[in-house]
Amino acid sequence: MSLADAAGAGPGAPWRSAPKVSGARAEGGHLAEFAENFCRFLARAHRECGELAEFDLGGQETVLMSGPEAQEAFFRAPDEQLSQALAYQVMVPVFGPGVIFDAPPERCKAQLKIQVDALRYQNMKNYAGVIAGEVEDWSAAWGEQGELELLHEFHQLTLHTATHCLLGGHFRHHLSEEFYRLYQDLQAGIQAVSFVDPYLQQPVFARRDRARERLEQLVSELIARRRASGLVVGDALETFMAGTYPDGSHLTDGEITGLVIATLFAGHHTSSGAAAWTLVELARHPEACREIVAELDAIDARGLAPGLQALREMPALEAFIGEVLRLHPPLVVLMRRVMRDFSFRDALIPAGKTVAVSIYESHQNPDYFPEPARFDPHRPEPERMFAYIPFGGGRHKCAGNAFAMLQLKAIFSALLRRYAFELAAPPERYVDEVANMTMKPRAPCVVRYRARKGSPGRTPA
Amino acid sequence: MRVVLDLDLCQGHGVCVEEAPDIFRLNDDGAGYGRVELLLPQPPQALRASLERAARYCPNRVITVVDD
Repeated sequence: MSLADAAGAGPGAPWRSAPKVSGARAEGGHLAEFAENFCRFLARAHRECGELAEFDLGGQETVLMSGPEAQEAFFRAPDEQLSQALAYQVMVPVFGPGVIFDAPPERCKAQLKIQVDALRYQNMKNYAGVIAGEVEDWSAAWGEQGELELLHEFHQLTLHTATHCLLGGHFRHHLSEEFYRLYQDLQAGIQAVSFVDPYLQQPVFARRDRARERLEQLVSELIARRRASGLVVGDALETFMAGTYPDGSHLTDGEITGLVIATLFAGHHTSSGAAAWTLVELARHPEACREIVAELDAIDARGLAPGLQALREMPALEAFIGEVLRLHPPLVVLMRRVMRDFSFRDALIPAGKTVAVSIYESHQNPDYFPEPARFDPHRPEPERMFAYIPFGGGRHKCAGNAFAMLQLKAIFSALLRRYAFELAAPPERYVDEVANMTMKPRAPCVVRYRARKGSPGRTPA
Repeated sequence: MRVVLDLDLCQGHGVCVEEAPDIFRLNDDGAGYGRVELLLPQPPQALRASLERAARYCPNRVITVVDD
């Protein structure tokens, strides 16, 4: 029995409906207000209606569930009741047929399991080395001082690390230019109109479908070369190729391509936005930054070799990133489609509606985060589960959460050992860009760097 | 000392098995996310350090150590 059922009204008690948010327009309901600034809209919905707040997104009735109890009910509900796949059908033409949200439940589960296999210990150790090398290459020519536009820089860096970890070093260095162009076409294929119908006759959708087709060719060629050479490189592709369904059959090339795309879409923009915000907050908080640098110096003084183990032992850096993810959660809203009537306390949300959780709003709750607008890297994580949810929760929690943390720590432990950072514009210019579905600072987002005196590992110019 | 698991949260990452193979194993039938199982629900004090590492490094916070 789920918490939601357990918490429902007693026998015979009348169910109530979720209260409705004011201001719905005859045309599109709340869609225009939501699209303009969904953080502000969801805050208003919560303030006005409380734990459950129903609004209308262009005909899709959606109930926002707020607070840890409601969020726990959302995250613990089984797929048969709250479907993730049906809420994200917009991704189907991007990932390709038969992949994740388009796969029958049993095959979908096996695919997600294979995706987790690619994040296991041995792979993570390889990825730690890959990321360190990419950071090294990226910053090799920085010199003593300069400026960085963070959105561009971290977009590129995390695209390189993701491609390298997913498809190997050879592909990353020799074959990735076309791959990046195709990835761009896939991204451009996700438009507001895709949520209405992603199969309309439109040039962006035609380009998306050609890109998906060509990507499958590229990945198939890579798979064929790997099989022929027997080369072992320890990337995710290898794990996807080895993975099997319960009947022992392997994933098709199309399904492997889909998993590569799905992993890239899950991890790339989220990580690049989080990295940009982390560096802005580091530049804003020199005191906390000094603490992290002292932590890194202590690790170096102990002679701990760089790698997975050293990256695990950085509590100050980890807490700092944790606070960045609280204030600027890369994914703002999570959705599920109600498949079977869903009850919470004395309210009933009927099948067919959508339920949503706002990660952003959850992290602004003063009961769990006093003075929520203040950046405080020493803030303790709330005891109450499902109050702090930067990676979601439950069975669909972001499976890449440990990878994401590892990557951010690898990037900033390397950078802070060598450079100090400061904002290049007045602090109030660095704000959340809420026009996209992933949270990033608004462009342009520039910081200045200069080499730390006597920083380790630097060759004199 | 006993171990409590919140299996709703487990995705079978297997970090606990790496850290404390005497206490945990992964039930991995390939049909979906693997799930952790307890070999030793009440591990001896000698395994405390590895158990605490398993709990701390679990990506999904599945594991709680309870001292009764």
